[in-house]
Amino acid sequence: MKKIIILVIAVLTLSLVGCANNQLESNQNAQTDQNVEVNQNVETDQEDEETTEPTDKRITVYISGPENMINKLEEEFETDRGDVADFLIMSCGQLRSKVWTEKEAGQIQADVVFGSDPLIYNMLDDEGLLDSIDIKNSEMIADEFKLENHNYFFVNERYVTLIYNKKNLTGELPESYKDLAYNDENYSIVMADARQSSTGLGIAISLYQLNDNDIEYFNKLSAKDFMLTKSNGQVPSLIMEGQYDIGVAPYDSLIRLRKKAKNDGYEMPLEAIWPEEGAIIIRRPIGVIKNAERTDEKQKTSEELVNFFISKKAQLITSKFGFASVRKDIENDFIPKDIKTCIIDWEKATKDEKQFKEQYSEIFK
Amino acid sequence: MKNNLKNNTVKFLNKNSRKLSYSNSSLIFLFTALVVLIIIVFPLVYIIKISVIKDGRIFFDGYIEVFKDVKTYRALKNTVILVLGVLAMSVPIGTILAFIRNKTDYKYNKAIDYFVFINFCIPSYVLSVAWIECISRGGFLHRILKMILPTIKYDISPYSLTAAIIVLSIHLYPLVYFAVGSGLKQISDILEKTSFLLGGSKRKTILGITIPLVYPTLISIGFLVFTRTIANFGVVSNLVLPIGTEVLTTRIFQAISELNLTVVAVLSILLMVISLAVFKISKRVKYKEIENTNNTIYYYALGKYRIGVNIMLSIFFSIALFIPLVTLLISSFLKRWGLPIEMEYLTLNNYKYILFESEVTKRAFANSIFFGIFSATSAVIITLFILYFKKHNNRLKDKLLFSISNLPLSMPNIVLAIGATFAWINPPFKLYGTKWIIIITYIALFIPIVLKHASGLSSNISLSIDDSAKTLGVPLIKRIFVLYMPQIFSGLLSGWIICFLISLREIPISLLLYRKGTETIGVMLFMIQSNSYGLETTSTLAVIVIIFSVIGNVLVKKIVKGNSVNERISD
Repeated sequence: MKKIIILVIAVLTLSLVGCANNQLESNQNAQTDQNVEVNQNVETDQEDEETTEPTDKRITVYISGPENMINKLEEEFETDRGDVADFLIMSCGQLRSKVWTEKEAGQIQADVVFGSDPLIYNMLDDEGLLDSIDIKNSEMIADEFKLENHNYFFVNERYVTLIYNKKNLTGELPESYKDLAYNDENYSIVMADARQSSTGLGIAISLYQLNDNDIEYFNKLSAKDFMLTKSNGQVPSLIMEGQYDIGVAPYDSLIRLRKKAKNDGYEMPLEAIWPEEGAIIIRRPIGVIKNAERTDEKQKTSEELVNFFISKKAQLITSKFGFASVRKDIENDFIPKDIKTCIIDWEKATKDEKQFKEQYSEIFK
Repeated sequence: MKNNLKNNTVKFLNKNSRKLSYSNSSLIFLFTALVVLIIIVFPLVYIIKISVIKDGRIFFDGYIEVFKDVKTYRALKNTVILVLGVLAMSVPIGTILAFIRNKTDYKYNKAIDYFVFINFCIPSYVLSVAWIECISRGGFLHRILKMILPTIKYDISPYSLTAAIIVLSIHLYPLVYFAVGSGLKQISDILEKTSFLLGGSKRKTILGITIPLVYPTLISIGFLVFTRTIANFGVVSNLVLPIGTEVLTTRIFQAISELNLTVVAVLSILLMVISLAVFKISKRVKYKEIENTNNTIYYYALGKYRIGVNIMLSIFFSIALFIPLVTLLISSFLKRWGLPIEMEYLTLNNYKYILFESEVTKRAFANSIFFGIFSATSAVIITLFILYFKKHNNRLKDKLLFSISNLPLSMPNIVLAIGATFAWINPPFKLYGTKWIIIITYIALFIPIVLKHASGLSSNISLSIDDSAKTLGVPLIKRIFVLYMPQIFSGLLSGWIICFLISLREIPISLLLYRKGTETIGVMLFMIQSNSYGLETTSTLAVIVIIFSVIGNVLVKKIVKGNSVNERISD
């Protein structure tokens, strides 16, 4: 009978406490074993068994972006290094709230954060939560992407355009972001929700700035057949599927959809309009989270990852997926030469964020 | 002398066996209480702490902010509308179907069982996807209408609170159906026959006797429908949030996105208090349960209404089951949702991708199965102990343990996930980022569900069996597992099945707590569309999940044939 008691208690204890100890133990072991050479085969076996548990050698990367692109980047980064990084793919909005929730709970669990927009990075940087690291070959980065007084780095650039379904939208086309809200055409419009999507927030704040900080722009939009999506990726999908006529979204998603349509053998009814005000530029940053307890090995891997993302090899991969490179030696052929662009004042956007969100929430209630 | 010796020996044995039993009992009680405290109370304490403590100081700004904010009242109002709407739809639908199935001479009553069961296996989020595929402008309804009337101006939006009410009602009516069906079987024909003898018409008997006799069941299941509606995230996030309308769960989700965790905690507590209040009110309603002692049921003859019933059921199941299933199935074979349904646009690649190419999806299936089996089994074992102590000792501490274990029933999944994040992110129990945080939160979610399924059976068991075994010196563990457990086995098993099913569709907990390697089916359903895949990929995954759920359920039922699990599955 005692055996049964022990068995039951063991099973439940394992699920509750043992696993916690497991994690702590693995951390402790890893710390003490730093100088011990581990047999490669044994290590591989252990990792196979514990694929879901972080080991002390692997860094955790919170990342947003197309899954195929991220998988390719991870594969390339680990070619010479082995399995040293765990990439957790999520939407930019999720990335933002996950990082903040963890920060509030005590410690951000990620070593490196990539994607989303500069707003969250500014907030983290202001609180001293980003590590300052050295960027190798920084001379290869175009001047406009170099940041002073910040501990994060730009990896890519994307351009926000108007995307429409040419089968559904046959009348007069809007020429600017402004047209979308103020003209008399009765389009059905779709955009990412600024409360759910981080890039959506960047786009919405840009539109707010472009309209002289006048929230009326969103009032006008909401009066039309208007819908909010949880992510930017959904915007061109919904337009393509015929649910909505037109939307505001990054151009790179259109490039990826075009490629997919070509591969799968169907017509792509989506087209882009480069707005008169200029295509809004959204830059995707990367940063290393400050953590005094991080091992030297993991710190090294984290810094290597940041450098890898800015390397030519990685930038060529990301540009294949529609993201413009920050490097001088990679040509930006995504945006037509004569097209205007507009850059968001991220510092101001960070300051205005709370007030903007309150007004925005009042409209889309 | 001989008798004295015998008496002394028996006394000695009894004394020692009690001692052994007492020490075992204390040990097991302590362990159970500790588990409940750690997995249920600990995260809850954290939520309360976040709501009132900031930078080491007590403050109530979060509460002031929430109660001053008009968005809270708007979300509250929408939540009330949603809950009332779902109750108003799902309870009558489930009751009418249960009545036709269990109290009439309807010929195809087994078919109703099967259809309702399949409906029950479809996750609510999947139903909302099917709804969008049907109703949206690029959807099948518009396409069909366009074929008939080419110039039609179609402006029906699939996104609204009403849409969420319809979808949630379709999702939740099986709960009412199973519970009311079980209640109707308990009604002895004597009461109805007496009514007829006294000159009562069929209508009067149904409305005056049959239906009132299932009021207790309706109140109990009404509360369950209420909690499932108020806690729902998947459907409202898919159908209500896109138009900017908020209910409490999405308000919490938005507050997370707005990085305002104090508000998240306060809103979570508010949501919990509402559920708890309704739970207490539903418990206060006094009623007398009737037991069918002679096992005879009166069946009403449908007569001239038979055709009408057939038409009504055909329309209902077409809308609630066949149209969503066919929609999902067709969409799953399209190269891209929205393309015309022609041979050149059909493909098997979506299935190939999900079943064979996508490592994440394969992992998600494996994880959901493992998390489901492990969590449901653990919850059943813990529940068994809780119920045993409540039944056989019924001390204040046993009642308290029972009440605390029921708490997660009033905690929406998103609240459980937030509590878990804060409770398990720091040492000594640093489980955040591992599969165990999901498993433990699932166990907390499942304990009250199993309790609900098994406590009724437990209350009908005589104490004398255990007392006799105790007198004979049978150890506690043996009494629990060999004597007590078989008597409530069908309840435990039906609870286990429900928990396992939930783990195949659960979204908020997994979504907030997953990391690479611990993705679940729920996470994939919610995320796959975000990753630039269209509705066709979500549909493919949905079809696989439905098939998987149905097969899994049928298998479990086959294995435990004869245990009246079907009847209890949703009591």
